[in-house]
Amino acid sequence: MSRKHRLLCAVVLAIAFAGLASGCASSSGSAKESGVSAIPTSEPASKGEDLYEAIAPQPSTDAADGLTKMNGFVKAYKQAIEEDDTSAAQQAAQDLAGTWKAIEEEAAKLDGQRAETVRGDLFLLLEQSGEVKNKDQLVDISYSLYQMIRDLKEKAEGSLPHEETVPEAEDSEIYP
Amino acid sequence: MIRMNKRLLGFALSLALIFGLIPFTAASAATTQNVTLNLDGKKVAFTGAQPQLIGGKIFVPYAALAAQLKATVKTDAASKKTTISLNGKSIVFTPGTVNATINGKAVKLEGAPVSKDKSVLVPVRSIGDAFGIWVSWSGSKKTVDLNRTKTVKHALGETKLNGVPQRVVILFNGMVDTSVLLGVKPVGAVESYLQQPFYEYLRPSLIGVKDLGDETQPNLEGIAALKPDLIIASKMRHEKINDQLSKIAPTVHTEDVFSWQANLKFAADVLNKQPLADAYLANWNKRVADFKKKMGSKVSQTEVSVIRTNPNGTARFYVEGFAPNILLDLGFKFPKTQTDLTQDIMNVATKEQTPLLDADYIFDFTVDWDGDGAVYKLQKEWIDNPLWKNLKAVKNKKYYKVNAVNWNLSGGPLAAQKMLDDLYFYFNLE
Repeated sequence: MSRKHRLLCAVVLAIAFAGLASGCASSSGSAKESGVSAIPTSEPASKGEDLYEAIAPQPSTDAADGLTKMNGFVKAYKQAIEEDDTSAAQQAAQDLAGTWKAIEEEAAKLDGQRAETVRGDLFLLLEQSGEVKNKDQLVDISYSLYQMIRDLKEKAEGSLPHEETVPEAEDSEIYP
Repeated sequence: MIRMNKRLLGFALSLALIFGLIPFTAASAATTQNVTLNLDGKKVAFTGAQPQLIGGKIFVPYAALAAQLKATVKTDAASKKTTISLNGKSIVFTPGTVNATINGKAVKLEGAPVSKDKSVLVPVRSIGDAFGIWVSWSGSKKTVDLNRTKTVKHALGETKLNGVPQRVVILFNGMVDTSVLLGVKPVGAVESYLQQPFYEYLRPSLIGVKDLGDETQPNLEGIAALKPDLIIASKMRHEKINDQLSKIAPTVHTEDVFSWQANLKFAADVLNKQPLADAYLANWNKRVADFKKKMGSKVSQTEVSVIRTNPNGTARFYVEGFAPNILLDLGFKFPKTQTDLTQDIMNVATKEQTPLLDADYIFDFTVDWDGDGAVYKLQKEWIDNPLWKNLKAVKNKKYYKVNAVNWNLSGGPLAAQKMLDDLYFYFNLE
């Protein structure tokens, strides 16, 4: 099956899923309750969101592993956009989204705000990678995404410096 | 015959390698080597167990050292816990475990205390941490120096410190980043240029740290109220207020705010965190070498331009500063048109001068100081001017808007790592 056909199928599936999701929303609670980054349900779903929903999760060992993979995918994405390789860019965007879907809940626990930004950036990449209108904007988005992934990875790996305590002040004769 | 000789030579070399390596490996596995210990510049004579390197860490017989320091030692026979106390400070440890307590705080020692020659040896650095003693190691002399006072030579003279500082105030952003790397939580620090009070990536390590205002005009009353035992400032920013600062607490100055490697070494020396700085720099140098290797000969042939749009509508390029220094370390060069004009930074006033901004790659760290987006409109005026599209970097799609915090404003070793990450991203390196 060609990439175009696969994408078409993905869009059709996404629309179907979106219809199902809207039917379930009132009875099964909001996205916030499920622990997933909240996207306002009152707004109509974007094309990027539909495409995102249609992508199957690509499992990783844990959040750190998934974020490491995403680090590679986002570099591949940026390179593909700069080389006008739309097909490779779409593949990288789908790999990013699939990997993210599998770790999103865990990542949101590490940093809900960043996780929400990642999700939003992924919508944009998915939406715009098929028909690139503004390469510069996509490179900027991929840079933003790259930084978010790096920051989340640091948190997942616990490599951020820890808080230290400070002793009480002592009176000094020389420096009152 | 020649062929045979070559085989013999190969065999001999193999034997030499094998037999040469075995003692080395064996020695590495259980390295213990006696070392000399100086206290305040005088050699200390130990009877029985000697200070020694064990697995690359320096251990000392604690009882003998405690006697030298005139510290009190108590050992609980039941729990085998030993407490060394001095001037209200203490370390509590148990032979065989790295878990210990220093001044009431649970810590992990860099090695478990061991019994040897009827003595118990503990990592000397832990003793230093507990009692505010500087510990420095000379590998060539196999000597460890313990100093209870230190005279720090800095950009504005010399300052004597009576013990490793515990309540540190920091007056420039690059040093705030450095302090986080070194695990030293300041009692107060100047606020960040953006994302106040402190840059987001540093914030988790700076909870409870007093915001002392702007780097260029720190809050002197706020500093005094914290009763610091050290102020780390920079001559570049604080020379004029040095007299006021020095009346509040011992004050040391770096030469400038952007020579981040020199500033890291300086801080590590003053704050007794040499091993952390050494480890960071070793890793940094490894990454720099990796970057250069992956870039190959291309790096020395690539011209880069570091620019920003100013709030007054002019543009600026930099050939000196935090980001330029890192780019130079990595082997890039700046356009001759730029280096011929200035040694550091230069404002470009008119759009007619747009070609001055050009290079193979342009990195733009325009900052939205006021948070109203106005500067981005000015940046767009530069980008929309007819000469912009003729720039080599723009034509080749190598004009990048980069993170101003990591590339310019923070200016410390943690930011440097992020900037280097970004360069791997922009140059498509794994």
